[in-house]
Amino acid sequence: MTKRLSMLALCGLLSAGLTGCDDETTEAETDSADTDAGETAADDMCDPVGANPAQGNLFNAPVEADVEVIAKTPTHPGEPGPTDLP
Amino acid sequence: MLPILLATASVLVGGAPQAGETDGVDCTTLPNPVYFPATTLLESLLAELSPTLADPEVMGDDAMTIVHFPLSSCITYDIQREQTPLSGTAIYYTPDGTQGTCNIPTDMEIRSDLSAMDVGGATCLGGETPPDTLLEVPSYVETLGFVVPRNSSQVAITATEAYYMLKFGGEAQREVEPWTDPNFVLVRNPGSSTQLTIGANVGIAGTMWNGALTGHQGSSDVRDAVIAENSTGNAEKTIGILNSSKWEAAFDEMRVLAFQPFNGCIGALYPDSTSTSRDKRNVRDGHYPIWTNLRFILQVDDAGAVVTDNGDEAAARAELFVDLMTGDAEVPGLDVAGAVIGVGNIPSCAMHVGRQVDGGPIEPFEHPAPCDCFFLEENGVASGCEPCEPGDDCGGGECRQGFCEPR
Repeated sequence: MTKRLSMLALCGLLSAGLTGCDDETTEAETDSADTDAGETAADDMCDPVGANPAQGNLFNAPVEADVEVIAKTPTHPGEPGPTDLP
Repeated sequence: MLPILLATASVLVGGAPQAGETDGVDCTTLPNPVYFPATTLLESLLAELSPTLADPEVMGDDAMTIVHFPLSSCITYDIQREQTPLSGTAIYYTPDGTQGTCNIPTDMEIRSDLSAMDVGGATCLGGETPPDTLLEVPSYVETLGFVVPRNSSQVAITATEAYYMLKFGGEAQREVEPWTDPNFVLVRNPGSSTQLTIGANVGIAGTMWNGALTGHQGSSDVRDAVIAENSTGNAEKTIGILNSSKWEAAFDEMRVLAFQPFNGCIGALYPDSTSTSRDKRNVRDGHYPIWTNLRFILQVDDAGAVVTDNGDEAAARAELFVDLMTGDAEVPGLDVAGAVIGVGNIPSCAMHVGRQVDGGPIEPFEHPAPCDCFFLEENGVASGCEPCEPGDDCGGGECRQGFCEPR
């Protein structure tokens, strides 16, 4: 099941159910020196990707309003990755 | 490696001849041949450039016939590294654009002048350091991804879904709907840069994918197999792995899926800003991580000079070819950058991210001579940049390839 989003602000809402956006990573993002001052509270829920905060910042950097974003309900069993994958 | 080369080269170019095609000539009789085992991902670009490279009216005495053996990346690397004698059938183009096939005579030992692949030598060598006798020259960026038939309703895949699908191949309790039947999960092989790169981005190495998945030798084979499922009733459960130059050329028959990487919290994104645009915005700014750099592999001597088994002139041609492909040399009438962009690839000057290791972390990157305006305009996207001529005042920016770049 998918639906298209056009708002980056929904990142925080989505992050609860999507890959690697848990409470632990929220703390890591908050602690990151690379966090942009302009980020919203919702953005802070996104994961800086462990040892590679630069990559996390790139993945989760705000996208422009005309970028098509797909919110997909994953169809795989188990927890989302990258950790604890079978 | 020789048996693999024999088998795959023959299979890959053994399709039905197209109109005007010239078949089965002796490769050694072609004018100034450049023997070039290279990734199948290069087929689209070589179709654009090889005719001009072979044209004496454009290239003068430097005209060359690119003799392309389309193979999986790491196989081409092994051929160049080990200097295995070439055999079987290759593809070439004449100056009028006619595609032909040629054969290596069975009584001759012809070795490659260079090779090209979409992963680094270290990846093909399982992490070992490549030998000093090989020079690895990075070039443009090729976008990779998951594709579905146009008649599929699927639009996105997450990294975790891909992990389950590729590792377990539809095993009970590990299924990922609707891609549960491994007969319709169309992959390549463990030597394929497409498979290796995608594997690195979804947590399951390309050498470890489930054996029940349906393998293919070349990217064209995957493209054709995906397209074929449009009319079989199996479109919904079909998925393949492919490169952008192939899926863009088959836009009416297949679609690339948006991809959500591990730890990507925004959602799934296309390589382009939308499903129908052609700007590679999410690749260029780091939101879409499945891409790789093409690398040319040359042989060098102790002094670093390019050498080949086919003599000094052949070495000079191989070096010129690489210089032209990377922009270090230019010939009026040969538009390499335009061709690179035209077939769906990205010159490094339009990238704002890079990576040190195949499939490794993406990092911010600023090219010393950016070409974003040119890249967008070539793709038919309004860049908002002012057209200019060399030497024009660009208000603090630089006139580059016909447009005022901001820096």
